[in-house]
Amino acid sequence: MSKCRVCREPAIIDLPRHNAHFCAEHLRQLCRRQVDKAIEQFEMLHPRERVLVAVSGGKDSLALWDVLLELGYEVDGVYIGLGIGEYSTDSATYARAFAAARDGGYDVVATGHNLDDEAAVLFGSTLRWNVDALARQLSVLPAGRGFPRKVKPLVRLTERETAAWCVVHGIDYQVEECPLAAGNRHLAHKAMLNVLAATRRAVVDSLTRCSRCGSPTTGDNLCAFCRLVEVASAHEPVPVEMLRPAKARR
Amino acid sequence: LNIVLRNPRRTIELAGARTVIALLDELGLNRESHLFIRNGTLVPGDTRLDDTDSVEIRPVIAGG
Repeated sequence: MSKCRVCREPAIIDLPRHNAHFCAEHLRQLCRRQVDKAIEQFEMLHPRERVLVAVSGGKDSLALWDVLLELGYEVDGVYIGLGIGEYSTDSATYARAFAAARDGGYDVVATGHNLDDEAAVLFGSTLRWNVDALARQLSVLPAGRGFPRKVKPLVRLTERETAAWCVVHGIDYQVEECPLAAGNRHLAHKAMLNVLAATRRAVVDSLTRCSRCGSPTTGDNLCAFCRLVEVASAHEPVPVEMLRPAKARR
Repeated sequence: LNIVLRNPRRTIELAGARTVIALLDELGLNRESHLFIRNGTLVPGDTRLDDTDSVEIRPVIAGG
């Protein structure tokens, strides 16, 4: 059984991007630390600010609400029903189950956009070379024109990590996908990026050692450099003469 | 082995012990996009599942 990288107790999750396994306690610690780091790095929140989390009833917004509370911020949630039939009714139920009703007066609005969301948006904007969208994609949008500051404290966490946070904390969330999301380009970009990550990991897992120099290689025996040296050394050296170009005339 | 899949929620039964990763390969699912919950608790991909286990393979990709 795989062990937690930190305490060597039985692990509950493997996180390939950290090349490590974690137990529940150290997964929580990792998530808290990543959110804290994002808040500090991008100066998202300041002490004593009131934070309003935009809640959908899904894993990211509920995890965000929960982790901000754990970090000691004063946080409330707001749910906006989109009227998508039974799906919205269910989502509102999940949000209410977690909510404590309070009044307004907030300095900042926090959304549950995570690392996968940001990567997918960046990927899509790059594919379309949408310079305006690329310039707008920030972790903090400053206040202005009557709108409060908007921040994305989960930008350092993947959605697998936010989902794991919810499971570990017993947070019941809307697992089923929105019925209007079918064929959504954003989801397709996320799926593509995950396939790329899995392919890259498969390549890394398949690496062997070059029998001559010991470097990592995908080849059966020799690495690309040693193969080139072998091919080149089988031929007579070709004399090479350095030619100096004539000075350009004025 | 009782397996719960999502989007939409459904259950399938498979016989024989196997690891979570082997199960994902059989089902053609990506490891990066799922959590594995055995008998109500998260487990890593190298966990060996028995015939008597109940496992949920929960997708984590969401949003629009």
